[in-house]
Amino acid sequence: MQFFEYFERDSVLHRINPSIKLILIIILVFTITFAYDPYTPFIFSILAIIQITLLGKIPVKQIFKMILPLSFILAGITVTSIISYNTALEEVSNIILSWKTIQITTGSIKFGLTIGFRISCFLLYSILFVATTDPTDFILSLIVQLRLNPKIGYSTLVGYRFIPLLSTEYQNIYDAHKIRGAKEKSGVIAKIKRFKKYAVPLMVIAARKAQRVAIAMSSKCFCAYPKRTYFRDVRVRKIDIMYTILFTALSIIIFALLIKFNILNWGYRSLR
Amino acid sequence: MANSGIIKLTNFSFSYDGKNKILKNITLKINKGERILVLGPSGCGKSTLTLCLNGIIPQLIKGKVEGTILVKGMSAADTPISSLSQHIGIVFQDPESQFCMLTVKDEIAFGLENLMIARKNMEEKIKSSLEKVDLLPYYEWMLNRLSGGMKQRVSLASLLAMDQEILIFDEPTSNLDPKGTREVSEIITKLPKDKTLIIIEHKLDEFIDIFDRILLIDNRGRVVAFDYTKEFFLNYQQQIKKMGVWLPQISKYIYKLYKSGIKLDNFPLNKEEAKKAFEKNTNIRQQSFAVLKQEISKDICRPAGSYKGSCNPDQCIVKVENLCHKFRQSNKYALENINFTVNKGDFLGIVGNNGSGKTTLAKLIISLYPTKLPSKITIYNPNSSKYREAKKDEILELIGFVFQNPEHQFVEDSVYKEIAYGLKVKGCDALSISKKTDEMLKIMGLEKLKDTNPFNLSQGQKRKLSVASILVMDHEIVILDEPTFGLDYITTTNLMNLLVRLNKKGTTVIIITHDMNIIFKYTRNLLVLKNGNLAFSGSTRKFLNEKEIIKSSDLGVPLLYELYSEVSSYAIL
Repeated sequence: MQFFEYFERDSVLHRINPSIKLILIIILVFTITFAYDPYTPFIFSILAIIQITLLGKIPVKQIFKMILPLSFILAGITVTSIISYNTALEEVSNIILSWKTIQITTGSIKFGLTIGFRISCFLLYSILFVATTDPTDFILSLIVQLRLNPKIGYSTLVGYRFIPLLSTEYQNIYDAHKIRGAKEKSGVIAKIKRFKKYAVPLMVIAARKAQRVAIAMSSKCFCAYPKRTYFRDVRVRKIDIMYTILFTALSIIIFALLIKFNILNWGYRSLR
Repeated sequence: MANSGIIKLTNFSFSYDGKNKILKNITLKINKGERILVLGPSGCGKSTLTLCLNGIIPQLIKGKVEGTILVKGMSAADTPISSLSQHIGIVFQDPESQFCMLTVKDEIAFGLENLMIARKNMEEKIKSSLEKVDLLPYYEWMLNRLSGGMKQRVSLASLLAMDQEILIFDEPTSNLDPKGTREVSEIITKLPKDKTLIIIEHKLDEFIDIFDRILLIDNRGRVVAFDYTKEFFLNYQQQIKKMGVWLPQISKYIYKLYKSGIKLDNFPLNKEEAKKAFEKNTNIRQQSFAVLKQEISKDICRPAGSYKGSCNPDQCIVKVENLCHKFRQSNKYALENINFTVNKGDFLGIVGNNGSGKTTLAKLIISLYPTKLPSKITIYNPNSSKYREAKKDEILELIGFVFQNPEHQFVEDSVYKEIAYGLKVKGCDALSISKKTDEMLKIMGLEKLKDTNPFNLSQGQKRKLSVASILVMDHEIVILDEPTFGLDYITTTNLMNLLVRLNKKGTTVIIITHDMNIIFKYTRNLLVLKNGNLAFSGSTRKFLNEKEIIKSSDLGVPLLYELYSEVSSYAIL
């Protein structure tokens, strides 16, 4: 289930403060949501790939490895969007293909690609963030820069550590039940049923582990004082300010050019 | 303060529900710098007591407290946990679930951050505490890449960095292999003398030299004894045995001598002291050696004829050829070129340190993981009219497998249904199901609990149930993965005797364990795995002479046997 994972490297993107990175990405992705043309998200997708490979030192191969399991869903959404597009919204319809009630026009293809590229843009910026952000730094930055309650922050870190443990436990339970003679079927519905059956032992194990960690944390003086010091230095540094300025400037220039050449299409209007 | 003790309990009682007292009327005093062992049967409230000391009980986990605990003059029930924790640190049993960070340095820093230590002082403190547990090279490592023993040492290092005066160890080695246990016991021995240590531990042979005094608690939560180590093992040996608590081997032997009239002065507890006694007391040497030999032949080097099982040398039941196995995510072989055969009726032990491939091997034998040629595992079906290879779908009928964690295999919501489950799946008729299930409940002593939900049982009962639910099936081969883990002496002996009885009736028993005492006492043949390779395969008795392999695979031989081989030269003189 690990589509996105963190790659330990020493790169510009790795050194950027996680909160700054997160905020920049959220603003950019939010802005792109309003672009109703395939070109804008496409160009920003390319920009993401360039950043991950050049600034993040992560090879293109790894990016595709991470996106591959999701590419079927991506393709599916694109095709559905093309088919379900309401061609009546178009001023001029150039029909490419017509079969029964389905009409595929240049407009519907544009619409499908818009949705497809928009989702791939989301995915790529998520990869940019996850692959270049140390989970511990991320949580600490949320606590220090964005004033997240340390109790919630540190619990989240513990939860993150438990994910692989629980997946091992799941496999063990599966094996044990198989040996007991339980007939385990394959398929999605069987999987969901099985998960319901395994939920009890998994919950028992998880709850016990959680309580143990809670006891261990308390006995290490967690929250002894209203404030705490930090071993990792997650300040906002010069490099963060420089990256913010450059990233914002570059994005504005791209948007400006797209507007100038009349490519960008704001809001939900008919596609040109 | 020196006279009033660093920890003082006065008429202390605790119960979760206000009725059943887990701890009852405890009054005791522990002095600064003392090293205390807490002994008692499982479920007697040892862990509860430690959590009471730093206020987790009753502040975080609620319950009813009577009497007082004073830690450095502070009342443990009323002083905030965070203040108490600055004086008391705990190393817990489960290495996995006591960390909240991902790397070694962050984990140690976590405690320092809580105490508001300035960042500039942290690195030095982290490094010096890691040095004390010999883990400095692992400063940057991810915690999940460390072995169990190393994790426990990191946990200790994080307490040393916080510089707490009282350190509590709650069964620190119970999840560890022999190597990890030795690492941890060595580090604890080396701790500075001004630390007050309270240790709950079962594996006493490795730890016995550490303690000043021993506290014995019975299963009703009362203090039975609190005495200096030597006096303790001399005076309370019978009571300890009755409670089902493990005894250190040397003390057991010396006590036997004592009873037979040979009273060695200073009551030796470790091998060196016993050896010295042998050197000094020439007049009783022969007699002591005879008793030692008797003990050894009972528990360790059993003569070949004493195995009454019907091991048939001609009837091979499991055959493993050229076995190699690699997990998908890893590029290292988990098992490499393993070859061996198991005959029908054998009692086979599989040993090796954590990560040496024991469980993987067992799971391959029951075909949970597929094998690729030229790796080949053949199971033979001795029941069919013609002795032949078992088909794939017969394997699970022939082999029963008891998992390491009992909870993994629970499928039903009551003890009775849990035991009957396998028989039901197999399609037995109702009458024979109820007969067999009742019989098994009786053997395991679970009759009174037959309507209880398996998840509500104690750890020892869960283990018994998981074994019962497999044994009821009368499999031809039974594989048990760490069946005695966390069990007390009496339960372990009962379980092993049950396996011996089954073995005598012809069942092939394969047992995976870290406990070398069990291996030498019960198994006929032995497989030793080391980093995925087969380091030894042959009779268990022969293994005693393989000094090289014993050393290189980080396994030990029982202490008494070591003593025996070291003093045998004196005895001949």
